Amino acid sequence: MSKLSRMIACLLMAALLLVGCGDNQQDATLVVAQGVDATMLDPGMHSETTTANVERQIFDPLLERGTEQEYKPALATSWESISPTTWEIELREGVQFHDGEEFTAEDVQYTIERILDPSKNSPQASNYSAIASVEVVDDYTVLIHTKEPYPVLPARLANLRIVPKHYVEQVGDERFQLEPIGTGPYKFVQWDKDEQVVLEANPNYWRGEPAIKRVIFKVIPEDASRVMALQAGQIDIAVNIPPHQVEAVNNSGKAEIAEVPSSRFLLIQFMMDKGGPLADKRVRLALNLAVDVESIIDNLLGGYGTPMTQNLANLDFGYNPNLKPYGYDPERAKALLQEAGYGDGFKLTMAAPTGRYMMDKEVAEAIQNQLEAIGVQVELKLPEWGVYADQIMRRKVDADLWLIGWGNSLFDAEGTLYAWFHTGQRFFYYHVAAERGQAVDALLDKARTNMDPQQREQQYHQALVMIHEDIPWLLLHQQKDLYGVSKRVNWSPRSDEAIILYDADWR
Amino acid sequence: MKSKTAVVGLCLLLLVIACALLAPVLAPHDPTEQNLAARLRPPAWLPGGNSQHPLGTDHLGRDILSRIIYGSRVSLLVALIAVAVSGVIGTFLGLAAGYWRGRVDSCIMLLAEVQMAFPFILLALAVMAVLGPGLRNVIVVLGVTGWVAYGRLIRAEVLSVSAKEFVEAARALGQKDYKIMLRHILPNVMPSVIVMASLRVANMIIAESSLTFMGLGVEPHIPTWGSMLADGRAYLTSAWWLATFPGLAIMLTVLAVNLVGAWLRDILDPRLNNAM
Repeated sequence: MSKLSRMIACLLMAALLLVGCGDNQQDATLVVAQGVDATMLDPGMHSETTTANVERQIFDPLLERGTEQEYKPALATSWESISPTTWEIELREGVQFHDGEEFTAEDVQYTIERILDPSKNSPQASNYSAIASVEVVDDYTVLIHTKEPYPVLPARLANLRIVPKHYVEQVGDERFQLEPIGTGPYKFVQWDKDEQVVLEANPNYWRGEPAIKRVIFKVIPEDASRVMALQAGQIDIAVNIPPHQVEAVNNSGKAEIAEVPSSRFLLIQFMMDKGGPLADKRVRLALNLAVDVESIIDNLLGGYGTPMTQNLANLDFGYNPNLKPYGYDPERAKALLQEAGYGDGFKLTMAAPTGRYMMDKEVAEAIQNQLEAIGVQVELKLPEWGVYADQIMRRKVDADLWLIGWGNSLFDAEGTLYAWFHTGQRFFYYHVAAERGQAVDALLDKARTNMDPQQREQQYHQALVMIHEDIPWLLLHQQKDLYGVSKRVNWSPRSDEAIILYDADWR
Repeated sequence: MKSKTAVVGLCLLLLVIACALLAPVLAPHDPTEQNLAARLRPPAWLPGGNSQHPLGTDHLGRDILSRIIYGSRVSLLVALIAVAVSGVIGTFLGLAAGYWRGRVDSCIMLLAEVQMAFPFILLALAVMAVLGPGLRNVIVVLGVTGWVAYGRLIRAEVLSVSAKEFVEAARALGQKDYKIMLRHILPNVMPSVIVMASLRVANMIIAESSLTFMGLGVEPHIPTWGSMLADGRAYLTSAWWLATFPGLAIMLTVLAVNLVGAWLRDILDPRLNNAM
């Protein structure tokens, strides 16, 4: 029901927009279409790229990541490690929140402490758990004390968008998440749940007023509907264009495809802790051998992807180039199941989102079929993204296998490996023999605090070799992202999937 | 048989029934067998198509003709069982309401009116959302929510039949209520039930397809016309055959059922006969 009503709503909105669009480009609205809605507009309490893409227009980070993964000043003007465990951050003066209040060091302290507050249960808490305390020196200087030396702190700060202490404390988290204010280039106007978020340019933005005055983030779940809206000139930027529609977009005369290798990859997580067949490494290898990733990439993704060998993208620091895919060998898979005592097959449940990642439902259906070929009956669950994301964050996914597309916005192994393979972390499902787990924990702990990049890289390589041997996952592919971009807009996509509309302009 | 349209309808309906019964024999392929390398093949008569897949393949390389043939099973199964369930419930509630009148009548008709206040498909959607998707749930939901149409019709029929002399005579002879209802009234309203049921089959086929289309019907791994439509929608501009053929299957089946239903009404409904 929700899908249909949403579709009708989208069509109506599109019609309204067409009527509302004047000829004057100065007044024109730039419309970005994503497949799913933001879950909240609070930069500290979610960890989804689609949500971040909306709220990052409203808030500013301390540092900005350039397209070459270099760091540039944003709300922080300088950052310096003044002792192994202390970083001194100088803040920009004269920056105002949308309500006119001055941005100060208090807001930085509050933003970090709020994420780390256990009672808030922020999914980002583990990202900042290396921070011991934040000390306000004066209005424009903070000291960040880390528990141990922490080399990736600047990378973390590039993802830390600052919330206004006075406003959050005044209205409370719940209202803040629906009607936020920040220091960013766009001000929040309106949010119609599951339909659109409307933003308007902040004329007092510290970098200067944005070129595009009004922005709408629209929810169009169906790939085909996004393409049609693009062809009709109703939207300007569409994410996740399915490969079979590339030609249609390029031929439309209204828009063209922009392609970028993504830091995001798809894999299927095994619930190893429930016992049963998945507790057996031979079974986990058999499932990997049963899935023909190359064929999925060539046929379903139109070649826009590369097989994964680990849960890092090849752009990430710590990526181990020596690891190989497990390969495709259904005969060996059957033999392994036989050996493990599951020759007659068994049943599993598998969950996957629809419309979130490129061809996600189709990929899940193909995998279901390929697993059935070795005798594993898979019951497929396809929850709505909002529900699914929430289940993942609360560790409540009700399935033995679940598909996730993980994008590491840190571009460093720390951002992925620590969260997924260090005991006690949010995405930890790596239940192996105790000594093995301790060994991986130790390596990740060491790498995390090592200020020597070469040693650090070696430690991540070692940890990845061990994890790869234990097969806690069904490895799929690293994505290439396809965006449809209207010819009236100047904008290029980024590997980290961030949509930064301050950089966009009318042609 | 006088009516030509009825012959066409009957032939089509027999074809669908044959597909459902003989699916494993008729279907050229396993309907769930995927072949990713052969995905989105057009129908045989278009360039790029081949006779292996007369109606082409879908987004996972499954044979569309085979899926349509197997899909007829779900459509017919759901429609027939749902019609039977709703027909039985509706007939008995209608009988009770029309025969006893008074408070029983008020209660049953109030229930019917409350239910009529919701559009049928909306009600079915709401119940499915609570129960969760699944073939059995679809049948239960369509069966239970579909009774109102029968209930109201049968009540009206019973009202007129119970005023007839033979019912009064049976009452005067001291026959028990249930005997009067089953022996004397029911046979007289049966033709209406049959006509109604035949027409409702078409509604049920559409309702099942709609529910499945919206992801709240039959499980995704069972091939059905509704899920084929839903999957094919994403490819309408690039591969029209994914959604077009199951759509045609639904249309033709519903048409066939309606034609046969209309013919049944013509021969079974005595008033219409008299009028002609």
